[in-house]
Amino acid sequence: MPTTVEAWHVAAVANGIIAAAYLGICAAILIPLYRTAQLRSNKLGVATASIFFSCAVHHGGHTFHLLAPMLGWHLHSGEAMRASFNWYMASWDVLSVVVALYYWTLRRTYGSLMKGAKLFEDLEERARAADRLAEQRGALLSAVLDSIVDGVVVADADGNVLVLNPAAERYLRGGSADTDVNAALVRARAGETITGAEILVERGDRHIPLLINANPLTGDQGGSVVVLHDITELRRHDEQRRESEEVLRLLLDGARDYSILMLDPTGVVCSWSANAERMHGYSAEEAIGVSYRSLFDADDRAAGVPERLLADARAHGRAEISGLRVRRDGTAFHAQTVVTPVFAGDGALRGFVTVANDITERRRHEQAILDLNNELENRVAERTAQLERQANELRTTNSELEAFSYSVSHDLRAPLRAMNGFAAMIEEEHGHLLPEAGRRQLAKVRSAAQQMGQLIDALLAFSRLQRQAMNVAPLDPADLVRDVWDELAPDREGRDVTLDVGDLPGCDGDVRLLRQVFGNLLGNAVKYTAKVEQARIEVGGRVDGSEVEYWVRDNGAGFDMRYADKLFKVFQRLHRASEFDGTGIGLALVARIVSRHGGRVRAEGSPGEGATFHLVLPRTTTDERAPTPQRELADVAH
Amino acid sequence: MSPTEVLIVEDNPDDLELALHALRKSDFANAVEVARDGAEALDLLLKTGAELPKVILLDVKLPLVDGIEVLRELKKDARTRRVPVVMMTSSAEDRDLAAAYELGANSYIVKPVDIDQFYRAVQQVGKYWLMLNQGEPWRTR
Repeated sequence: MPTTVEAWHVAAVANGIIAAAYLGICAAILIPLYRTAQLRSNKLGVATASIFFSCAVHHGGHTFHLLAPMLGWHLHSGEAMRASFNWYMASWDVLSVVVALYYWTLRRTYGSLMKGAKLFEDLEERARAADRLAEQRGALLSAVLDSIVDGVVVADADGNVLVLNPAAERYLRGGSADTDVNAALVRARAGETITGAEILVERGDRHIPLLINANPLTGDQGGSVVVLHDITELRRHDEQRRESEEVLRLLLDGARDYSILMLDPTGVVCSWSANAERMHGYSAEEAIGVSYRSLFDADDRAAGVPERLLADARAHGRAEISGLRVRRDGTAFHAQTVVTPVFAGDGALRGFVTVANDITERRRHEQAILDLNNELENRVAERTAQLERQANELRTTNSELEAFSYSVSHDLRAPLRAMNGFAAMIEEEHGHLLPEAGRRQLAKVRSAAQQMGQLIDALLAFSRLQRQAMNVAPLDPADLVRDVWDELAPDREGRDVTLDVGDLPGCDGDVRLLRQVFGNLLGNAVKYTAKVEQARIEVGGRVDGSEVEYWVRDNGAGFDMRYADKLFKVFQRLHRASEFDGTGIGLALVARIVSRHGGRVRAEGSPGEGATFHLVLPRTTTDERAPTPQRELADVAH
Repeated sequence: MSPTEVLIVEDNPDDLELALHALRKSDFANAVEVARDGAEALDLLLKTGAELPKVILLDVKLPLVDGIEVLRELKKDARTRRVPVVMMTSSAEDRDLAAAYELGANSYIVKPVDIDQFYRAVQQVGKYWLMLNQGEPWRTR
């Protein structure tokens, strides 16, 4: 053993240490690279490790060379040793040169080496972060799985259940869905994808519908995942929608005479109801996409009616039209259409809703009514014309009658006047030449002529009555009686006649005519009591429901009831002219006037015991005028 | 010859005679002139320079031109318009009455069949129009 430390000792130790240290560094780089599987990717790391390895071998060679003789190894010395050493060492040096050159090419990545120890720590940290991330992911996944309402079941390739989240647990609790879920897992494992399969699971006393989706899991492990989705709500919404659609359908269907359709803003049909199909003959497929105007009649189309209708609706919020529409088969019908525009929230036109009503039937009815009205009008006009003709005939007759009575009164009276006049002149101028009998006979001529004059006057009055219009107004008969009685004063002269007027209710009537009635009745009473010493005349009246009754009673000559029906007839007399003179017209006139007032007359009496004449009149007389044509026309018109 | 005081327009000779008789009895007869129909009456009255009577008794029913028409013509003429006209007729037809008064007749009298009444009527008419009534100062132009 040498006692002094020589330089080579130090060199040997130092080289050994260096070699060991370099080897350590090399390992320290390579082991983490290996662990993190960066041997291929981290080129800088590997290159660095290679330099350290090369240096370690170099320094190890020096150490071995220095220590070998001490261990008894007789190594080459002198030129021989150098020669062998040189080649050996040279080969390593060449390797080192290669490594160095390679290292040079990586010079731009040297920056990472400047971070010192980070080279190792990053790799470790990355591995740990990956672990943590995996943990976090797992926690997140289970949190998500716990909180979602869908059920999730994951099974591995062997069918072992890896995941069964709480929702899935709930759905599968009753066991009723096990078979379906298992089948889905198995099928998905085999590579099948299942979407939208529906099953029902028991939940308490009801069934809930579930939608099953199943997918195979890709990746090394294989397996499958099943997702269960509760579609109760969806079904409920579906049901509600179906119900409201059904209600709408029933409504639309119920309004059979209305076709309801929707148009887009350009007037193209975009919705078509069953009633529209019924009304127009086009099916929904045929109609949708077609312009609304094609439903219109050719004339209306040519005149631009459909376009105007939509423009109007848009401008005024509503438009209405009635006109001809054409069906698919070319037949036309009459429709009443209301068009309403539909606007979006921002005011943009979204389209139109049109509701059309087939009014052909209604129009037919209206036409029928119109025709009936026309028919009625024609008939009224015809009847009017007929009445007009009758009225004209009546007028002609009347004027002929007038001419007749005019000529009667004029031409018949003139000769009578002459007879009377000249008889009087004979009496006056030559009376002294005539014997007594001759003068008496001449007087008879005169009185006969006078009698005939009276007859003609009465007859004229009677015929005039037929033609006279009535003026009906409320009147007081007591006034009439008083007036007439005063007029009769000359006839009562020198006689004892008392008049007793009771309470006379008022009535409606023509004063002029009713005055003639009372004049005749009171005149008769005065006349026929002429042979009674104390004449008593009584006028009375009473209300009887809707009628009033008046009577004139006397204690005069009376009459035989057997001939009562002759009393009121023209020229019928119950007394001889020698007893009581008269024309036989008076009572006929009375009856005629009362009848024109809508009333009636009757008489009672007995010979020698007086007579009573009754008149019954309506309390309020309807204005019963002479039957003038105008009045009859007015009646028809009403 | 005294001036005409009464013009009687009457076609019926009997009525005319009776009327004249009545007037004679009342001493009005000497100034009476007679026209037998409407045309003659108008000729008489409307010719220029004719003397106008104090009153005209005009029958309604006349041949050629009837009384109403005569009345109308007389009332149209400024000169004859002022002569009082008394319509004398056999019957009181409303139509004639209305027409006569419408045209300005001064009176309308129905000739009674009874001759005494007839006399009375004619005499009263004569008395009234010829004696009581204060007529206009006449001119014969």
